Amino acid sequence: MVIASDLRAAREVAQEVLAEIARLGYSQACVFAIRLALEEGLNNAIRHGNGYDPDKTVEVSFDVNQQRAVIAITDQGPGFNPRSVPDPTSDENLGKPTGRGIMLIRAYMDEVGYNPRGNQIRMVKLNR
Amino acid sequence: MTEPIDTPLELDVSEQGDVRVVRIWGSVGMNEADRLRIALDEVVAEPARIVVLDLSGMDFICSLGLGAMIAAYQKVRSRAGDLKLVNPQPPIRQVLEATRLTELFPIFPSVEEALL
Repeated sequence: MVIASDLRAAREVAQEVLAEIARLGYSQACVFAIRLALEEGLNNAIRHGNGYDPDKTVEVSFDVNQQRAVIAITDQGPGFNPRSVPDPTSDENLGKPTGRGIMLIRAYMDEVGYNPRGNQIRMVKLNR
Repeated sequence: MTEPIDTPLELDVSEQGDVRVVRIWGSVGMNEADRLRIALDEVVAEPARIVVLDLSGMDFICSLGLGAMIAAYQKVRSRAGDLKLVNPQPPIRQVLEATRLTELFPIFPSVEEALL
């Protein structure tokens, strides 16, 4: 599905994905993890990728079954190099209020990857 | 219409002298983080010796919510005050541990112990 670059639209698509995951009986810990990754991914796409540009959209695709949830989020920004993001858990960054989204996605999902341009994130969570 | 699976964010601020206690219930997702940030900005606008954030009722937090708490912490610390967290539930504690924010914020089991 394609949504506008605003957080309310993101909330609605997140609710839809999470309702499906809850319906399939994923554990509370899995639901929490997927919700966190979805919110971080959508926020990054809207804020950093599209820069809240109302003319740009975010594409969200999800493929969920009882074994695993696969979610891809694509923005219309120039993309970024995920390896260039500073480690927010290092001592010098610990007191900074921003920069934890990607780290949290990596910590809570089982697989995380990007397309070569860096404007699409693909995340996988196993139901276990 | 999909049923929301999150819970509304509710905040209660109490003040006694130079001590402020903020009780936070519900979810701090991307849609609610601004509300938390604005509320905490108000709480720390005037100098406080201790600010306590009681997280007993919080069931979700994203990086924007963490950012709101860190910004408040920095403001309080810049005036030689303390900002303490109370009783984060296991999923919230896990986020604090994953981000190493347990090393930034002192965490206490109860408001009373945070104020000792």
